[in-house]
Amino acid sequence: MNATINAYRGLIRSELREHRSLVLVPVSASLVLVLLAMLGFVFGNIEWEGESYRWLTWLATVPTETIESIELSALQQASRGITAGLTALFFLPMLVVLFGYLCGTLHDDRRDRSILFWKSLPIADHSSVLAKLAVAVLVVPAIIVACVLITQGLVMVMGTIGLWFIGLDPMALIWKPAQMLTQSGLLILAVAIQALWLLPAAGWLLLCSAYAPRVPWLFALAVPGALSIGLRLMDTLLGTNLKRWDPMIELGQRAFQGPLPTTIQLSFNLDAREADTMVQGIPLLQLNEVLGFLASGRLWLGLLVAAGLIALAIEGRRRAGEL
Amino acid sequence: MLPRWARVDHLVDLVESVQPKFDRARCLHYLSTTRIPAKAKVRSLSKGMVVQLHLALILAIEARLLVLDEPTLGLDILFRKTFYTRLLEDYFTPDRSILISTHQVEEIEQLLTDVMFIRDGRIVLQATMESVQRDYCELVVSATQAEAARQLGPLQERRTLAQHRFIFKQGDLDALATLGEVRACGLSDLFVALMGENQPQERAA
Repeated sequence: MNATINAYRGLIRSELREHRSLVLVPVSASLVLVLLAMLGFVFGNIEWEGESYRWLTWLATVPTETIESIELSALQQASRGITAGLTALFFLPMLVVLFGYLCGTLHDDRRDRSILFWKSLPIADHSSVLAKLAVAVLVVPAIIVACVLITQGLVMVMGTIGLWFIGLDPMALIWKPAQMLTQSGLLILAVAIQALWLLPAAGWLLLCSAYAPRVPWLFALAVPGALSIGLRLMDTLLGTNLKRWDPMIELGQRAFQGPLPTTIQLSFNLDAREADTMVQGIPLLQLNEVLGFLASGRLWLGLLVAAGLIALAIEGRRRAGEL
Repeated sequence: MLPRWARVDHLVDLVESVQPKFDRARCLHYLSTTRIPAKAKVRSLSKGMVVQLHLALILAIEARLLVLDEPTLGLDILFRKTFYTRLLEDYFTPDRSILISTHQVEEIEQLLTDVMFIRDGRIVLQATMESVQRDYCELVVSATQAEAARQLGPLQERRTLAQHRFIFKQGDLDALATLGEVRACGLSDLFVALMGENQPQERAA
């Protein structure tokens, strides 16, 4: 058992060393966001009653009651959405990175002939494929969670210092609305369910990586694209209703409509004192929405499809030689 | 073929994690006798260094049977000699077996206990080196004795300058000695004699 765990640990570590962007992209995004938050805090401008103010100057000059009337809405709303909003900012670029990783990972071993080395090691083909899959659906999401929580913590600390600086209560204004403990727990749960939701798409990309003779990403898009066009042509010519099985739409929904928020629309309007209009579109993680995916038949059907695709990818790895 | 993106120390980590019989200390010892930097990437190493690294990884595995397929292909003669010397000194023990598959027959001739020639998947010769030395011999004769030697049924005849060289199996050594000089048969000459000179699939193991 220990030997198996050690083997998987070694394989996953090796994958992360080979594909450094899987770690560098979220860590870089984290650094950039913290830097932007710092710059915004120090150098950001604000429009107030027709005048433009430097943020810190505005905080220092506007009466506390005015700030409080705004903070109770804008700050609290912004704080409430910080976990989900940051997740969306991290998740979208990582989808692109993961697409490239899954398309390339098995194919690259064949192309650079390192598959001969991997096959010379006492590693079963299913272990190689499952380790790569685990990197995509478990390890990378875990890295994203860690980066979201660290970034969120740093931004919150900066906000706390700023609010202390002008004599306001950071606990009431940002820490309580942020519900960090609850939102963090929900984030971890959502990431776990997201892994299950993404499995069929990940399985398809691994399958393409295992079999495509060249340019596996093109293969991964062209096959469902051609099927999609075929189904729509049949609908047009024969009057059928096959577009609901459109594989391109399914892939898109697997990528962008999982339990993790992938879209964020910010609209701050400090003059409108109503909370709902001040911050719009920041998705909040809700327990019922996250758990709702587990009750979805599509999730479980997708897992069956994923099992088949992954089994075929393993078979492809078993048969694979150098390109 | 080692992954070109990998670093030397990362490969050592990897093999250690997946191969329970890997001896890390032994591998590092082998590497310390080379000029391979621990932090170097495989893509930055010369071909000889890559082979050295690969062998350091393999020789550090406590296996009872080591299979080497063309281990010194493309390497210079200095490294080939060093490699085989190290293979015997550092790796070979009475309870271990080493199977070497190679076209470079002459360079491993002195190491072998057993030899097998395979052509197109069929075994052409399987024997101990002792019996090869006993059963085969080479006769070197002048041009005037060549016809007489041919009458004794050699496996192969070669002409070198003014001499004719014949390979015999279980020949009458006394009769052969009357014609010319009888020598031990080299493995490469026997290889050519048994496998033919124009067989692309031939291989000695």
